[in-house]
Amino acid sequence: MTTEERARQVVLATLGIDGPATGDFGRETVSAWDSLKHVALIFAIEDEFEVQFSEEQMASLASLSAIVEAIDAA
Amino acid sequence: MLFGPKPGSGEMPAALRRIDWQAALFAPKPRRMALQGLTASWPLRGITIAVHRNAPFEYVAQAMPPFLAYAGLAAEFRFGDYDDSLAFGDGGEADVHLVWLDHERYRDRLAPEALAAWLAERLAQLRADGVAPILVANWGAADAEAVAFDAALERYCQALPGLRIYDRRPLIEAMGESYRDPRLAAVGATNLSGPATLAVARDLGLRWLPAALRPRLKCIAVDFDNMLYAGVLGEDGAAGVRLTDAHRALQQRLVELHGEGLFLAGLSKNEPEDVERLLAERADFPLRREHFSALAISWNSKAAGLAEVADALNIGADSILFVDDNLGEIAEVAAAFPETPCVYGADAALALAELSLGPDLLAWGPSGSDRLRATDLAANAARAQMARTADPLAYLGALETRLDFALNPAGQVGRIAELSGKTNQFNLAIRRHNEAEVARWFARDDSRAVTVALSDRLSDSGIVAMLLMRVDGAALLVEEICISCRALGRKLETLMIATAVGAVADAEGCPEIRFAHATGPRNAPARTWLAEFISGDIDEEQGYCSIDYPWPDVAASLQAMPVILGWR
Repeated sequence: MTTEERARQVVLATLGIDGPATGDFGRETVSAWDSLKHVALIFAIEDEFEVQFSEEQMASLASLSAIVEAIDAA
Repeated sequence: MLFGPKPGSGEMPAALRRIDWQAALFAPKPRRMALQGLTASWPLRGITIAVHRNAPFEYVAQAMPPFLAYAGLAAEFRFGDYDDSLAFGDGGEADVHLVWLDHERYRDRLAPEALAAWLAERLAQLRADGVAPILVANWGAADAEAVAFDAALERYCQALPGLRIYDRRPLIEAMGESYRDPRLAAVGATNLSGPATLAVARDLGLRWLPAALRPRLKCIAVDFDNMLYAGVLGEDGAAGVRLTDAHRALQQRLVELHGEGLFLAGLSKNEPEDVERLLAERADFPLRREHFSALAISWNSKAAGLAEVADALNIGADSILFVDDNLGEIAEVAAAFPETPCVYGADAALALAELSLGPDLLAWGPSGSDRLRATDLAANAARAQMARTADPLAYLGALETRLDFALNPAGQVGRIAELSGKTNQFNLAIRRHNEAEVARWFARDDSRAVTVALSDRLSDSGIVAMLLMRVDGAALLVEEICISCRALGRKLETLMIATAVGAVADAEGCPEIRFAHATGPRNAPARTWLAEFISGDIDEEQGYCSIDYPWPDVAASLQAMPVILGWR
């Protein structure tokens, strides 16, 4: 499974939504992705990928693509 | 309110389905994705938790569902405003109140003693507003100010019934720097790290919230082979079975639980003499023969053994935790006793984690009475021997039995609530009062409470009975009578009740006594006693039975009993 596929699984499971199965999505388009869920996402991604984001990165992880990029850079 | 498949629908027993969750829930470092996928397929009790806070608790609440579900609960959280002053407001009804504070917000603003006094005053207000259990998280930090605050809070809160302090210090000490995460302050207004959030969710969901809502288990029935040691006793012999580090730690945990007042029972398919030899010869085992209150060692089924344990200890199967490394044995017990919780012990480390973190092993109420239980039970063998050789009155006299009564003992709110919550057989009205409700009973002008402590020359049983009464004009309403199963079997029920009720009726000038009663699944002993006492049938399932006081015949018969009576 690629990093994007794993990250997509984590994000969708944490947000409690079904899709989308492909393509990018983010806070602006997914209503379930509120500030509380954003922190839960940070917890889940750091836990799953055993990475740690900086304080600055945390605020910028507003889309699946941004998360994948941050994981790859960690 | 229950959620999930109907029990008894022919599906795999819930005990087996719960085993699938063990590895995820009790891992040393639980993984969020492993927890995310867990959905309970057994009934859950819906509860409402009112959260009073000055800091986010939502991250912990989001992580709690699988832990709560394992304990048979599903929570709706009602979050109060962020409020340093804890005004509470109109919070509405809740099953549990949780007070969650970031104490750093108060640092250097009030001295620790003053801050604790202020918080205790707020908690007293919350207590006065309702009867639901209250769980207050302490500061838990290691610096002098936090330590002083926590000690003062502990002192102030001792006077508040139905309130317990959730001590965060063990978790903070165990996690060290990883407990807090300053990175989250800006994005989440919290400094609780991701791992700490999960650990707190597990602690509250598995241990503290179940403890607030129901009595803890009474007994752990544990298998022997490949459970307490590596190996098979019948093949390897007492000297040949291996006490690995994991098994030593597991045995040590069972010793600790025994010390906290839980019965331990051995439940093993072995020759009884082999088990006796094992416990006698293996001085390296933390577990000793004297730790076991019952040994069901035979080639009968484990279900039959569990029934034997329940009978020997005079407890229900639903208050026994069954621990075994064999899924087939667990399935058999779960099929025979669906209400018996089970722990899968194939992995000793996981079993240890579950016995340390799992539900219904933490006592919300006073544990002192539980610690008396095992020694009291041990004395029963001697009592039984004496009973066989003497007539009933001579038997009581030889025991030097003593009953000590106390009227309105305000310091025993916890024990009274414990008896109300845990007594099943001799529980006449099954009111199930919690600590706050008992405390309110004491505050009423028309209410009276009597406790009865039992002792003899073999052991001290502690407080074994309670009666809650209410004066209603010329009638004394006996609203609740609970007598611990520990005190049954010595024919002291009438003496206890008649002495307590008679004293209060005399003092209040009540010529009529009315006993409240209800029909429960296990309180036939209490109802049978009532029918005999009033010399009549009890036609209703619940209600009141009346009898006129004084009871000359009862009084005369009781005077002949060689029991020492005292009032404290």
